[in-house]
Amino acid sequence: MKRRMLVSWAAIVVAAVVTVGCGSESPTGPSANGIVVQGVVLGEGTSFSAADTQTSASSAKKVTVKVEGTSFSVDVSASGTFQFTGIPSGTFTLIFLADGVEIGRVVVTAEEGSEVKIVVQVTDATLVLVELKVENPDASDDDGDGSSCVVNGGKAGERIELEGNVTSGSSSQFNLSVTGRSSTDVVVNAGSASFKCNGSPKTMTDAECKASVKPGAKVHVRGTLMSCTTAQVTASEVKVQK
Amino acid sequence: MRGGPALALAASLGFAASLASAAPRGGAAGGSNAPSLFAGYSYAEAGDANLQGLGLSGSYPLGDALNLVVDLSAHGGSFAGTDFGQIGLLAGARWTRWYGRFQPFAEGLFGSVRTSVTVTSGDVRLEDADADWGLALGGGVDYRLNARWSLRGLVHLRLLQGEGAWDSDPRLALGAVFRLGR
Repeated sequence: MKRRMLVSWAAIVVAAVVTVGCGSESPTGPSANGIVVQGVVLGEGTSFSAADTQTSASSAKKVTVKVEGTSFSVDVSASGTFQFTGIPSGTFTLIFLADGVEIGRVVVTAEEGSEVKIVVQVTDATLVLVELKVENPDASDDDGDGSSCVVNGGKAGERIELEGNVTSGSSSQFNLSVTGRSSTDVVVNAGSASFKCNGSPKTMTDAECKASVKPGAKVHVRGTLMSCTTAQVTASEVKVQK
Repeated sequence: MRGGPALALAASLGFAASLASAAPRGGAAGGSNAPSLFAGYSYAEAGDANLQGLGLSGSYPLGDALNLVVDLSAHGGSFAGTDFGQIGLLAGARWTRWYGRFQPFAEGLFGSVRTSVTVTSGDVRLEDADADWGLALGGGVDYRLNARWSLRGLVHLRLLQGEGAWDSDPRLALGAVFRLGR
């Protein structure tokens, strides 16, 4: 009797381990094929650069990610991860909600079989896109990660310097009409960047310098091209030209 | 990881508990409860990320079947282009019995798990780290090779709270146990 019970439990354990250990997040939508989206949501206190890493308190808000116009919906895990499988190919919009309140959207275009990797940062009431990569399974690119593209001579994952005029947004995130670039604006995430105001009075505070980043301002941005799909740059330095 | 956590928890606890209750105390090939050290390979999930690393633990007997356990684990891996690192330090109690060469056990631990996520792209590096309180419930089996050495397999279900959500992440470990003080 006891032996039979042990055998039964052993069978259940094996089944459980296989289910738990090998199983992945089940699709939260109608299709098993299509696009895979893997994402990470960083908390508010995310630190920046190699020299400045620190432990930070993460947002206590429950973050949910939805795909607009579909039944795809998933809660971000305690570790900050989320995953969708089977999103139909084409253009779709990821909607991020904190405690049920929308905090931001990210538009993604991907082909059938693509793997989308997205990293965002959630602050009080805003969403900052940190990185977005669309990896096509048969893409032949020159850097091997499926995310090759060129924006003003810079490639995804590489350093880039841009100059242009701010068209919208504020110091933490703004759209930049890049000088000599005729296509759409470049989105600059500058939440962790250092700011300098050229030609400004020495008494100008950091906050005043940041406040001068507004539509019409001419800026020089140094940073890394994070995504080609939407021309996203994470800035390490922003110089506001007088 | 959200699929089947209740099943895993019930199964692992039930398996270890049933083995422990079915087994005769101090079986022929068994022995008295003794302090022990464990080291081995460890696999864990952190949400949707699969991590691998090292598990270390020590136990000290508080009676014939009850032990105080301290468990330290370090895991790493990647997900969505980010690097994950996770260090857990938990302590709790373990119930164990001998069954011939087998020593099944069930345990419940409480402690803290620190998870860090690093994104590196070009010269930009972002890091987010936070420590969450959590529970680990599970069990396993030791297979005695000789008086001092055993092989151990264990499964934990770690319940962690963070980012406004609860994770129920499985952890599996396999390694060697060294018994002290015989």
